[in-house]
Formats: sequence, C-alpha cells, structure tokens
Amino acid sequence: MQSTLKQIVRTMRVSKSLVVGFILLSCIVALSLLSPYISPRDPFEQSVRLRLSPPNSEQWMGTDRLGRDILSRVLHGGLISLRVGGLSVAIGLLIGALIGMLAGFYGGWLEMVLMRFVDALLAFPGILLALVVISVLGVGLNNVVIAIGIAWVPRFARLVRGNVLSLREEGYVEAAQAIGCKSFRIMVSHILPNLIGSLLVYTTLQLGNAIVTAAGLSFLGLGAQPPAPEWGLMASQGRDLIGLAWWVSTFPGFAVLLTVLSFNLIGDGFRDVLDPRLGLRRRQE
Amino acid sequence: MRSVTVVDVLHMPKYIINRFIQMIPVLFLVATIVFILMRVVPGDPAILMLSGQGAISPEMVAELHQQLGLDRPLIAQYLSFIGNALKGDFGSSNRLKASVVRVLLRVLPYTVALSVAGMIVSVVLGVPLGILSALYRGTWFDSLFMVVAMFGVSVPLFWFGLTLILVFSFMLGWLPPISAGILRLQSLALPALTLGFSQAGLIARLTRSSMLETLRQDYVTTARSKGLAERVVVMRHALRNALIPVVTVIGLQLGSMFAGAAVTETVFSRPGLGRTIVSAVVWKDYPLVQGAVLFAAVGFIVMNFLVDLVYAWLDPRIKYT
Repeated sequence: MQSTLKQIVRTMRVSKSLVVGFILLSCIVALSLLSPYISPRDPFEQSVRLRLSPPNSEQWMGTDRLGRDILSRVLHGGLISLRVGGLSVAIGLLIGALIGMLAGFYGGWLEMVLMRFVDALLAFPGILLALVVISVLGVGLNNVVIAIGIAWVPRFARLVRGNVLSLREEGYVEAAQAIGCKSFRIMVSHILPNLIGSLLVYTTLQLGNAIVTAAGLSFLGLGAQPPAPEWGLMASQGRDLIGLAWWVSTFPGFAVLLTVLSFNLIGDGFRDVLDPRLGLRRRQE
Repeated sequence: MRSVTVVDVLHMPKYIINRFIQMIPVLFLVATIVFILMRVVPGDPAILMLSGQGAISPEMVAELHQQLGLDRPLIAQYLSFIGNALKGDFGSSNRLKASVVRVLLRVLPYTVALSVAGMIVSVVLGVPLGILSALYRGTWFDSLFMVVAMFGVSVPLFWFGLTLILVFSFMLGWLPPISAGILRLQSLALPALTLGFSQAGLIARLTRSSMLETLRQDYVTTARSKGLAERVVVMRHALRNALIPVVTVIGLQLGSMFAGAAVTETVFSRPGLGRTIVSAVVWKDYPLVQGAVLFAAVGFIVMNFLVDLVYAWLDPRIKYT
C-alpha cells in the first residue's frame, strides 16, 4: 500500500500535466457530485422576470431565455457529460479490446475477418459512424452513448491487437503455452496486465474525446433534448443569442473545454510516465 | 525535395495500381456496413419515417415499403443497392424530393472549400509553431506553445466558433456571423479558423515530437559535425524527414474534416455536407443519410489513397513493398 502511494507521488513529480489535470478533474467531479446541494437554484426553474439577465451578484453566470440559472444548469450538466463519456468509452473499450485480443491472439482467418471489419469501420471519418448509428436508433442521449461507443470500437480494437501481436511473442507467453496453460488464462493473466499501460493512456484521451463529441452531437440537436441541462444543448440554445446574451452559450462551452482539457492533461501525463522511452528523454532535455 | 529518378518513374505506376486495387474491397466493405446498419438494426425505417405524421395505418407502411423496396428479400435489396451505387445512383431524398447525388453535389463545394481552408489554417499555424518549439525546447516559448496546443486540442468546435463570432462579428464588427459564400474570404475566414485551430494543435504537437525525434538521428549529428550551418541542418536534413508523419496526419485530417465540418457549418449557418447529413438524420431521410455517408467515406478513402502516394514520393523505401 505504502509503495503504491510512493509510486503515485513519484509519478506526480515526473509529470506536471498529470498533476494539473488531476486537480482540475477532481474539482469538476466534486462540483458535479455536489451539484444538488451547492446549486443556487433548481436547474429547471423558469422565471419570466429574470429572462436573459447578464451575470450579476445573484446569478453568477446569468440566466437563459427562460430565466433559468445558468450556473445551476452548468453544475448539473457535469454528471451528464461525465456519465456519457464514461459509458460510451466503456462500450468501445470492452468490445474493441475483446475483438483486438481475439484477433491478435488467435491470428489466422479469425484475425483476417475481424480486422477487415475493423478497417472498414475505420474508413468512416470522424463522427460519421456515430451519425449513421444515431440515424438508425433515433435522436437522444442514450443513443449518443451507444453511437459513440460503436464508433470507438475499431480504435480500441486496433490498439489492442497491435499490442497483443508483440506480447504474443514474449518469452513468458510461450512459457505459459509450453506448460499447457489454457488460452483464456494466458489472455487474462499474462497478456491483459501488460496491456493496461497503453490502454490507460488511450482510454483517458478518448474520454475527453467522447465528452466533446457527445457535446457536439447534442449541439447539433442529435443528443440530449430540452430541458436537459446538457452542456452542448445549452450552448446550442445560446447560439442565436450570441450577440445579445453571450453568457448563455459561453459558460456551458467553457465547462466542456475544462473537462476535456483535464482528461487530455491526465492522458498526456500518463503517457510521459508510462512510456519509459519518452520519460527518459524528457529528463535528458 | 528529392529529385525523381528513372527508377522511380518506372516503379510508380505499379505502386499506384496496386494501391488502387487495394482500395476496392474497402469501398465494398464500407458500402456493405452502411447497408447492414441501415437495414438489419431493429426498427422499421418506414414506421420511423411516418412517425410524426399522425396515425399510421398498415396500408401506409406497406405502401412505403414498396416504394422504398423494403418488401423485397434482403439479398435482392443489397444487390440492387450495390448495383445502383456502382452506377452512381443513390436514390432520391424523401424530404427534398430530389436525387441524392444532386443534393450532395450542390453542397459539396462548400464543404471542400471549408475543409481545404481549414487545413491551410492548421498547417500554416501548426507546422512552424511545432518546428520552433522543437528547436527551442525547454524554453518559455516551448512551454507557452504546449499550453496553447493543449488548449487547441481540447477546445470544443462549437464553443470556439461561437466565441469567434462574439469577438469578430459582434464586438469588433469585422466579419459576418453567417457564412454563405463558397469561396468569399470574408465568409470563409471564421469557419476556417474554427475548423483549423483544433487541427493546428494536433499538427503542431505532432510536428514538435517528430522534429525532436529527427534531430536526435545520427545523420543530423553528422550534418552538424560537417560544420553545416544550423539553418541548413534543420531545413535540408531534418525537416523533410520530420514532416513524413505530419503529411499522413494532414491527409487523414482533411478526409475527416469532410464529415467533421457538421458542427462548424451549423455554428456559421453554412451549407455543406456535414449539415446535410445532420438534417437527414434528424428528418430520418434514409436515402440521403445512406448516400451522404457513402459519399463522405469514399472521399476519405480516396484521400487516404492520395496520402499514400505523397508518402511514397517522400519516402523512397515504401515503393518497393
């Protein structure tokens, strides 16, 4: 336990971006979890009198077209975005890692079939695959989770397969095969632990990516539906008002920026720490 | 750049043809995946399309099935879908009552102009900044650059675009908030900056790490030890090699911009491929979604093909594999 703690402290010392990202993300998570208790007002409470008030001492981030308090809505939006990001990346990670593991470990026709499928999915640029899935499933935040999850599957599959291909040639895997270990056991107890490093880096970066993609889809009207306090949707509600009431879309968008930034900083930090080659280089410079 | 020799010219066509042939199965698979996703996933497209039009009778559903060819066996639908796609026929849009190809060709120039302009912004910003920060690594410039690049990578497009509108259209009054022209610099500037900025962060970070990697190579040390000026070492020996991975990413990014332009086009109310796909998704206009997605995917695959050709030109070793 103590050694783990020491290791964490040492890690923190190596990478500044990891520390900054971690502090930022901790604040965001804490504020999101506490949102029901610390929000000044009900995020759904409308008020004709307070419509489009600019930021002031009462409403720190101002109010929207319906007089709803933007600070309260931004605070409540945190959990929505974190959940959407977490769930969609989990779908991509689980299915993608399974495909990559099977393809990399067994090789042969299984690999050929699975990887051609993955290649074809990768031929859909950017958010296009997610758009196709949404067009079939319909508009809504849950469908956005599934759509991003599916769109992320080929990325994880390719990463895992690449790593498994080189791990398969390692001496300890051959040794385990020689003493008659079952394939399943080799995959779970010999290969999987060695994948965790690169998966950790990639997953963290994809979390940020998934959150900004989901917010973008909601901005386009394909994700969260009114009156949900979702950041992308809130920003889109302020789009026409940008010259009149800049605060309506600026604050929710800024919340997305900070959240994505925290994940990118952490992912970069993990990479510095976990990639010994890069770490060494950095110290030399 | 490297001069082209007779051997190169003799080998190039073979490489191009091989690479071209490899493209065909991928195109075929992409079309198949689009077909499967649109048909086999639970939910009847006809019912989805009719929803929101009041009561739905079984006759209406059957009629629409027949109209869309959904009453035929799946395999027959698939074959005619592929056959029509090969002929460049993607059917007609349900909502716009026009041929899908015509709808797409009308908006394509807008998206191509935007993507290319965005790419120019990102290369012009990203490559020099990446090189400079690699050359001045560890200095305050490098630190500042890392912060800006990280910001660029993390910023949501919709937020950045709206912020640009706020500053340049409403506060300064320099540029219009709505982008209507295909090529007019005034209406292209803000959307291109929006789309290009986030890519610039990515390209700058990649250029920096690639440049650092290259500067560590033996031949750079050799060049320096020959007493060449640092400028010559950097420009002639390091830069070209450092840019090889950057070219790949630039090509891939340009391809994904075709589809990724959806958010930027929406922010600036600009017509385009991305916005067409989004409204087709919202209106459940299946033929249009199907055609637009294939269109964008084909564009992306062709882009990859072109990138590979540039890549082979930059790196002579690739050609013989």
